[in-house]
Amino acid sequence: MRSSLAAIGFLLFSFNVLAQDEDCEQTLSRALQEFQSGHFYSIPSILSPCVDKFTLEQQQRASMLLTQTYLLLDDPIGAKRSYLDVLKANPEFVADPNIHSIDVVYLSKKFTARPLFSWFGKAGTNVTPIRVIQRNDLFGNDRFKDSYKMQPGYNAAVGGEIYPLDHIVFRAELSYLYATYQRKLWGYFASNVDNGENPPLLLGDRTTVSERQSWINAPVTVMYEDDRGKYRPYGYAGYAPGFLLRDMANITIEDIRNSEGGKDEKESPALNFITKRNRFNQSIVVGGGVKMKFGLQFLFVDVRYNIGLRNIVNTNNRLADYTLDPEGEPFANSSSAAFSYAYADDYFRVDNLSISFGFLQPLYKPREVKKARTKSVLKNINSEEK
Amino acid sequence: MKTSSLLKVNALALSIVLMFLASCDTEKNLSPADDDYFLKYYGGNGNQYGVDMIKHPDGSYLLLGNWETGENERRIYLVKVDLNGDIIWERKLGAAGSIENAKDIEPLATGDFIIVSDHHNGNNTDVKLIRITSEGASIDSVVFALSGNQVSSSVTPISDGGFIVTGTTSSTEVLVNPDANISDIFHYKISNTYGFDSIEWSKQNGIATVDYGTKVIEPTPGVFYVFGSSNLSHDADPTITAGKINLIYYELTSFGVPKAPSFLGDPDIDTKSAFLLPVPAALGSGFLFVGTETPTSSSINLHVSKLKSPLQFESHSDELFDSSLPIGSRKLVAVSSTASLINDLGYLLVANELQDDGSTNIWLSKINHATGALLWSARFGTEEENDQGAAAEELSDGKILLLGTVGLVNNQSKMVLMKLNSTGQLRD
Repeated sequence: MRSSLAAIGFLLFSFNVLAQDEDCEQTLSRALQEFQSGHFYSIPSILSPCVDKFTLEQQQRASMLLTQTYLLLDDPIGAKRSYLDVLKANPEFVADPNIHSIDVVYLSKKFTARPLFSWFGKAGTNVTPIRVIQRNDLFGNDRFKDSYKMQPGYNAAVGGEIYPLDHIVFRAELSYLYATYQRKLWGYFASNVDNGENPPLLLGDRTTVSERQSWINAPVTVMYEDDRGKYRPYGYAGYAPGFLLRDMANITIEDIRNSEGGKDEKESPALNFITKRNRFNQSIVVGGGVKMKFGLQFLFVDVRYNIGLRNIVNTNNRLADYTLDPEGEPFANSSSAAFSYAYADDYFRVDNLSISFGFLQPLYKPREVKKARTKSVLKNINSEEK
Repeated sequence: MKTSSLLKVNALALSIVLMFLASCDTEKNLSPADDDYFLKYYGGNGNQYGVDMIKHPDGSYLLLGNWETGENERRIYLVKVDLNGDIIWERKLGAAGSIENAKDIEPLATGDFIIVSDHHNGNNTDVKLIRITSEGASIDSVVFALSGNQVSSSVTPISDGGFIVTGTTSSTEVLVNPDANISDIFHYKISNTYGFDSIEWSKQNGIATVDYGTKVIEPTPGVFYVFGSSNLSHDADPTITAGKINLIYYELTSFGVPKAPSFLGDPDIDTKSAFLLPVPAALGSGFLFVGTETPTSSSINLHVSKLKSPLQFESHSDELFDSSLPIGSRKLVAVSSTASLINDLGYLLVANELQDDGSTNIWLSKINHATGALLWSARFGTEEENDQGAAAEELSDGKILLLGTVGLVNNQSKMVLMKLNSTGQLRD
């Protein structure tokens, strides 16, 4: 009893918050005095005029006082109702055995305010590593070289989390990803083919392809997270189906030592590569990050790697779009990468590495749990009694 | 969280990962792109032009082209490629600084190959023959420095081991009737008996003001048919020499003297010869004679004539069909032809499509072998650059190899080989 009183006293005076309603703060003080004086039956009636006027912080203190009162009055239904009010006022409230009486801690184990659902939004930047499955080219010789270069893109997403088990989170989101990368090829027309000798590789012809893709992805992940504390690290893995919305490319072709000794350089207009692509993709998603508690919300930083599973090049349309009339101008334009710029895609998978910053809003639902986890509390009570 | 629950979640996650890894595209489940279809460029510094293609005894293909480096050098470019279009070897033939223009390559019974080209010596254009090994090494070559300009069309290996070359000459010093003629057909025989550089006989046929030689065929030993075109009037009246150009064919005597020609095509429409294909037995033997017909100044069509073998030199008796092949309002200039023996029997026609802006695209059509009716057509290239067809070959699986030249956007022309599906599409 003495420890309970001490705990309540500490609780009430430790909150360093100014009361918004002076009368209700006085009411709360009077209720505390009554509690400390052992006049438990009067406390509910003292507090009742302020029930709808308390600030959240006052509501938390008042509900805790009522919880303690009902426990002392051996009114478990009132105690439960009051503890639910504590959680409604502060869903992140956790009874602390060092501060609260053991019967409050015991009662707290029968409740949870863990959110059933949270929504979030995030945005960030990314790079797109290309993993070549099969090298393809339009050159009869194998003297050319090529390379891929990552370029920065951006991404944004909205999504939600559900919490089926402690530490386990199912997360689903809808994300927009703008990915860019560059491919360079050079040396493909370097030969002079004199006397049948294999000529040295010369710099000369060079092709640069800058491609820009817009993807909609819908990752579904299983996350393991630390659900206590201000900073909550997490890691996850999952699966992400994706749909390519748009794919445009510019091709620059250079002949540095053309037959007249000058330099010819031509850049294409933006070419539509969408028909050269398999628009549906699949990825394995792995990632992690840290959530930082900010009031009852979270800010988080998320690092993710998407491992593309599918070849995104349409193997049958990689040179020309045969959904068009083969004798028409649009068809000819669809083949211009191959026929005007001597360019064709490798077969490749698209990975993506992104870093995002986001905001997460949990939707708390204080409730009594079906299976209370009170064993550890009972163990403590027993050990105290011994 | 209970251990059993955690295990269930882990097992579920692992199953999902394994399921999607199993659906991952790898090199194992993607067939090599070039196995199905391809487009391959050949060449290097300068411009390279595709001219002709021939199957090598080992199953690969020899591509004949020209390699132009600036204005003062044009040499023969020979490439051996495998069925994926990858280079096995490539050679330039002819001396550095020379100006040559390869026209035709034919196989020899010895396993070697013969190439005919036009050799420019600064003043005149002469015919040059080059005999090469199957690996592209030059065995011998000869330039026939006859009077005036001789522009070759083709070379034909003949049964005695020699060759007959035909083409067109336009030099007034050698024309049969220099006062009236613009061009004459020439054909001369190089006999193996007298050596590679010896002309056994050389004849010209200047029957009209404009005559073009296309190909000489030796259907049986010692018998030579010549195919070309001429503006000789159909009644063969030598006094009428201002008629329309028509396809002609005639026989040579054993000494190369031309006999009277027979005509094909509409006498009122210009039709210039382009290519003569000896028809394989599977398509009934005979000859497919392909030309370009110009009914009006704004209309250009393919013209195809199928002739029986042996020729009777009576058009009505010889022809199985003799038809114009208008395809929409397109302007198509015939280039070459090959037989198509897989799937629908027929012939593949290679042509160049003239655009309104003067540029050209590569054109490929297939016609029925019995009627000459059009089965399908395909076009390759883009609107702005010059793309030109050269030759086609059908592969044993029905797919098609198409040789040509593609103009790139940065003012380069490159020899190109395409592997198409059996309907002429650049896809599987």
